[in-house]
Formats: sequence, C-alpha cells, structure tokens
Amino acid sequence: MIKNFYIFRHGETDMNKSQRWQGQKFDMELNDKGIEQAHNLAEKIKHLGIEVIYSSPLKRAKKTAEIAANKIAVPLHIKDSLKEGNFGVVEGLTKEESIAKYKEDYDKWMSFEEQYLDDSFEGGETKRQMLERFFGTLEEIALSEHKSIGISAHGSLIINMMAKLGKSLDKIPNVEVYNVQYKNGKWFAED
Amino acid sequence: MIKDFYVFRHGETDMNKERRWQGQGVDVYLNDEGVKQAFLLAEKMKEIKPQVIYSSPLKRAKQTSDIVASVLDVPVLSDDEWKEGCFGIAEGKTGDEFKAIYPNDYAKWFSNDAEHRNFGFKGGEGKQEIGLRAVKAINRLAVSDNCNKIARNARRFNSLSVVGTFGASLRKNNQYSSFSYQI
Repeated sequence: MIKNFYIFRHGETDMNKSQRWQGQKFDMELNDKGIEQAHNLAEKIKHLGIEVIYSSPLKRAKKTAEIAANKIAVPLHIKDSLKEGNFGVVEGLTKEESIAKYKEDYDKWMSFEEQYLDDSFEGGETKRQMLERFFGTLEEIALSEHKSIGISAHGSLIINMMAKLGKSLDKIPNVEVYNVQYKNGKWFAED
Repeated sequence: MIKDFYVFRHGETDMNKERRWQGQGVDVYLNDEGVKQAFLLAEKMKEIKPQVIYSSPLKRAKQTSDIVASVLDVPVLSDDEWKEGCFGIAEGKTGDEFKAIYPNDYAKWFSNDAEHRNFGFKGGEGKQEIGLRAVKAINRLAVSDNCNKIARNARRFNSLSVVGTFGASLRKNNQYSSFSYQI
C-alpha cells in the first residue's frame, strides 16, 4: 500500500526575510508576503487529492496549514512533534553571526554526512533526534486510513529528510512542496 | 517642510538584564529577548515606513537597526555621533556596585541641579556633552538630508537627551518616540 505525503514549508516570516534562524524559540507569525504565499500554496496543492493536513504547532507553519486546509476544505491536525529542529544557541542569529561564533558546529550542521548525525548546536537537538522525531511522526500518520496527506513543516526538517532519502538540496524555499512516498515500510523521495 | 524623526532604543542585552552600564566600552549583541523585541519594533514601524535608518555603530543598536531595516527594506547608515555616552569608570558596573564605591559621583550623575549639569564619570563624557552631541547630530540631519521620514537608533542616554530636548520621554527597550522637526 502506497501513502503519498506532500510536505511543504511554511510561508515567509519577517525573520526569514532577515535571514535569521528561528528554530523553536522564535515563534514568528507569517508576514503579508507569507500569507499570500500560503494562498498560492493552496492553489498549487488543490488538485493533489490531499485528504487531511497535519501541521507543526509553530505559528508560521500552523497559519500556512490553516489557510491551505481552509481553501481545499480538508481537516487540519496539529502535531507537536512536527515542529522545527531545536537549534540551541544559534536561534536568533544570522548565518554570518553563527559562523563567527560557532563555525565548527555550523559546518557540521550544514553537512549532510552521516558522521555528523549526532552533532548539535549547544542546547539544541542532534540531527538524528530531529530526523527520528520527524520520520516517527510521519510513520504514525501513515498508519491512518488516508492515502494522500499534507504536512506543514519546516526548512531544516525537510532538507535533512530529503538528504536522508538521497536528494541533496541547497535550500527549501517558502511554501515549496515535496512529494515523498511510504511503501512497504520504506520512504522514497519523488522527483 | 516637516521632517519626522522616530527615535528608538535598541533591544535587550544580557547587560541590560543585569542592569549594568554599557556605555561605549561594553559592546555586546542583543540577547534572544532583544532579537524578539527588534522584530516587534519592525512590526510597529511598518506603519510608519521610514525611508532610512541612522544607527549607532554599537552592536546592540546596529543589530536592532539591521533587523528593522531588513524587514522594512530600507538602508541603514552607521553614525558615530549616535553612540551611547561614554561612562568611563562606571561602564560594566551596576548602579549598586558603583554607588557602593563612588556614592558622590553616583548622586551627581542623577542630580538635576544646575551645578552637576555637565557632570561625567572619570574617563567619560559629561551629561550635557552627550546631550549636545545628540542634538547637534539630529540638527545636522534635519537640514542636510533629503528624506523626510527618518528613524534613528540611538543609545538610551543619547535618545533621552534628544527626546528630552523636544519634551517627550523614552524608557523601555524597543520603544520608539517620535517627534516632528520643522525646518
């Protein structure tokens, strides 16, 4: 049995615009552009046959999901374990500030190599913890009767999930949609 | 012609939280709360739409300005004149710590008496000197700049001096006081 997941990143926040890490501590609202993007997202996904949307509880993802779910008229469920990774001390910083203060940790975090799966920023989650939490939640959702499922999530979750499934991406733009399939207990990323 | 100036204080730093004097010598970044405050400030400033932000180059002010400017898509110009006052030997200390060692200097700093008007801590600037520096800087901008909506990010004492001159008050981090300056 095949389950189709359509996983999308939330719309823009002012903090995205300022290029600062949000993680879990900075729970920003969508800005005007982000709200518009969420409406565009709804247009984009309305023919995918999505039956239900699950969302991270963080405002940026939840608002994106609410707009989309409302427009395509499907139920919305909030799952705490879909929230963005915890980036500890770099939350609130820009890329430049993170590199200036924590270069080694930053380089490890940006690498998709297996050997860095157990590294984290001080006070944050490791990538392994983050990925197990994310895949675990998706697998739990896959057990439901739905065959086509929308997930409103976050950049670091998606980029690391895709890397794990063999697709290295440079960045995850706001409201971009990624199709992954769950087949016989295994995950596959579609092109 | 009327020019509107919006003067705001930087967001919180760990030094603010510990109630330590930063002045010019203690130059630290915002803490998490300070970053949040800067985004809240940006949200408020969206309605005002300043055309440019002049900022003190000190980290706490520059970071606040950079956040607001990035959200509003306006340039930030760094200006040394908007640095906080130099508090000399008081920098890095809390009021209580300083008062314990220099009770007379502490009293003079907070006194409104005319004779202490230009009192300064050893190695630092006088109160009046700081205020005049700020007033001079804003006057210069008022006559030379083409923009008519100008946000300025200054240190608290500096802002208080300017704003005080125009009869308003500025207290908490991230609040802005606005006033119009007619030329």
